[in-house]
Amino acid sequence: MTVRLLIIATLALMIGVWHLGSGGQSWSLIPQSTLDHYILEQIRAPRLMLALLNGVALGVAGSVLQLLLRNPLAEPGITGIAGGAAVATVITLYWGAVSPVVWWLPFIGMAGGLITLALLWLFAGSQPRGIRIILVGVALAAIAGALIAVVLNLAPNPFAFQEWALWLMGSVANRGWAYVWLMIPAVVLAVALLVSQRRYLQAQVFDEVTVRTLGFHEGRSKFLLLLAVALLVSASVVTAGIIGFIGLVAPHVVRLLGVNRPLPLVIFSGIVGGVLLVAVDALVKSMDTRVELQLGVVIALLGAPWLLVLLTKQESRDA
Amino acid sequence: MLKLDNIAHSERLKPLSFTAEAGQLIGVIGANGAGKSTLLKIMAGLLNDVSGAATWADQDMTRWSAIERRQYLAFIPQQTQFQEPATVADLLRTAQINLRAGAKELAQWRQLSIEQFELEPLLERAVTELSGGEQRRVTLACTHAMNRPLLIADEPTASLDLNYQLLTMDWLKTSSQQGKLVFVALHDLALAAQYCDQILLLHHGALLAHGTPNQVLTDANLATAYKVSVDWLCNPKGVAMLPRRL
Repeated sequence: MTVRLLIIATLALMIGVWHLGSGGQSWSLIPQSTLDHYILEQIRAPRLMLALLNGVALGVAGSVLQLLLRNPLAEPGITGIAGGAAVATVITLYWGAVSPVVWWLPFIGMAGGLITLALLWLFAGSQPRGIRIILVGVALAAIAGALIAVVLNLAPNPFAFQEWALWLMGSVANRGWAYVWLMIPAVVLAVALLVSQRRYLQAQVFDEVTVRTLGFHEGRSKFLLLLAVALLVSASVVTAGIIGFIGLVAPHVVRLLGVNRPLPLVIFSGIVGGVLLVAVDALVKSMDTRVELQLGVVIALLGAPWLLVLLTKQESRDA
Repeated sequence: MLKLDNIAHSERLKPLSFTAEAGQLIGVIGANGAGKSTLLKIMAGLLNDVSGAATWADQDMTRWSAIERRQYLAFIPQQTQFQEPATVADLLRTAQINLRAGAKELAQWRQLSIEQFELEPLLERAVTELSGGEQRRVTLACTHAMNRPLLIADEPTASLDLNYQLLTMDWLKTSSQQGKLVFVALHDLALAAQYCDQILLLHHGALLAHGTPNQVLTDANLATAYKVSVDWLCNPKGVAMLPRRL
């Protein structure tokens, strides 16, 4: 898996509208001009890092949610957190009519995601069961979706509409190192939270009642894990928009590879998520379309049919 | 010693008091909805809206944190569902996850529970592939592997075949004889009569009778609690019952 990641990463650095080396006419990883250097260091490398971080974040968040909520359909979008971060961002864009590159905008988005987590916790009640978190999350996600639609509806001009709509579709193009540095602290904090609650994650092999009898501060453990998910998802939304499906598909792929124990499942979901997103982003870059397609759209276009294929395989295996 | 003083649940259990010395097997019986599970869950610290006092070895049980509670008691819920395809060996290790004990000791407890519930051939199987009865044995073995002084079991014999029902009751009896305090909710009154040192009979969320099986399993009590009359068939090998609806 690691080897595949390295190969894909190398390809991803090479691929693009501008082919590195020999004046952009053929493929090479060795930069041969200052322009090549610039493209590699300032455009391709941060784009690769951002795709990797987003994939890891969404894969990990998806697997933690599926374990915690005991639902194979759980994914970052189902908690409403991604929607909350996106709502906060588009509303700010609307009021300020600023471009999506202002430095403080991501922090507003992070705040939106965390506020959604607070609402989720408030409405789910103390010691919430998984299914209750899902139902509250679905409601919050619906509200967020409606609010986003309202803001788009009220867009002052077609250019703003297009800009915001494209941002929502998710992409890691033209972000630069600043976004990578923005994402790293959130990911580090989330990983620290996950490590601190690793025993609670391991205990999820038992049902909810049994887990309660195993001696955990249940509410606290659940909240800290959801906080980790919220940090990962919000950081992903503010740096790359809404990228769906990675969080849903990555854990299923890992399970189909035969990894089921909670901790390896989370770790490998992160790796698979990272590989997938880097690979799909490389594909996006290499596709010769008039306007570069948004990553989130391509992921959904490829991810959904792939999930169907995996499920068909699983059914024929179970039969 | 366990001491419950006016312990009650706002909706499901009226105030109830009793004390129990360690080294006993105490049966909790009653019709469906009488409050057996509620009482056991209160003792296991799983319910909110509980009033009254509970002490174990002169410590206030109601103030235990989840992790402290874990050091004293093990609980077997009425039902367990396994969704994750973890192996039996993994589950036994995970059951001990919050215990304060040495690795050697924990491994020894696991080995004893594997032997007790005859799980050796199932150790590397995914629990989701096992039958209902086998899964129940895994649950019981996980509790056994915790080796706590206070053991609370909610209908542990449900979904087990005759052999494993007796094996489970033998285990609970042996545990109590080794000095543990064991509470067990039972539907099978013959098993209760045969194994328990004391019986608590619950009726409509209140304690109807409390004492030895002979004191509790009277015609009058069973008529009130279960609306049945019972002919008892006893011989030196055990007890059987013939219930009739009243």
